[in-house]
Amino acid sequence: MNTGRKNFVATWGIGFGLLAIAVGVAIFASGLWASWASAILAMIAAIWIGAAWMGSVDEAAQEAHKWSWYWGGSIGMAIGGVLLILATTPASQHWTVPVAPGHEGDPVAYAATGAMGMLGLMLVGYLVAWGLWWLRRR
Amino acid sequence: MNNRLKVLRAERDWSQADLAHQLGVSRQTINALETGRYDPSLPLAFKIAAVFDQPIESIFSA
Repeated sequence: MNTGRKNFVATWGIGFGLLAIAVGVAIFASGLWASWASAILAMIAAIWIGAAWMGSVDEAAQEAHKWSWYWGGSIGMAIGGVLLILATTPASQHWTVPVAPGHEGDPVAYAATGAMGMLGLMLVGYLVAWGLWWLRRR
Repeated sequence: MNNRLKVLRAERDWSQADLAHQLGVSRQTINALETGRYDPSLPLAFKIAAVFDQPIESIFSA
């Protein structure tokens, strides 16, 4: 196996190995420490895999992702920002905020809904921008 | 920025995939370069010049 292939296997192997450990901890361990460990390991694995994947695509593809994350993500965040600002005003008095079943009334669940909503908007913006970037270069 | 990528590639009877393989980029990137909708980085421009065995300034122009 040549050095490039070894590096490739090692890089992806470490990423997915970390992810497997995170999933394993989540399934087989219990308690607060296990939740923290699993979540932190999963995010380290995600960053690791993301970095490996970003390094494996060519420069135009990298540029597409950077541009899309900046513009799509920013516009998505701006839309989320409107909702966030409105949430602090009387306009939100009659809003119904969805939360995970069984967590109604739990402030943490509402915060999680807000975070997931913002992330969702940013991801939608990112995907739209990514599609536009490549459409304009066909 | 304008470039002569398509002409140079056609002269050698290479497909976009052939050139992409030699440069280590995707075919989509070659298409974006040829249509002038994506400007390459300096390292990629040097690589293109090396593949066609021509100076950069004879391939790219402002």
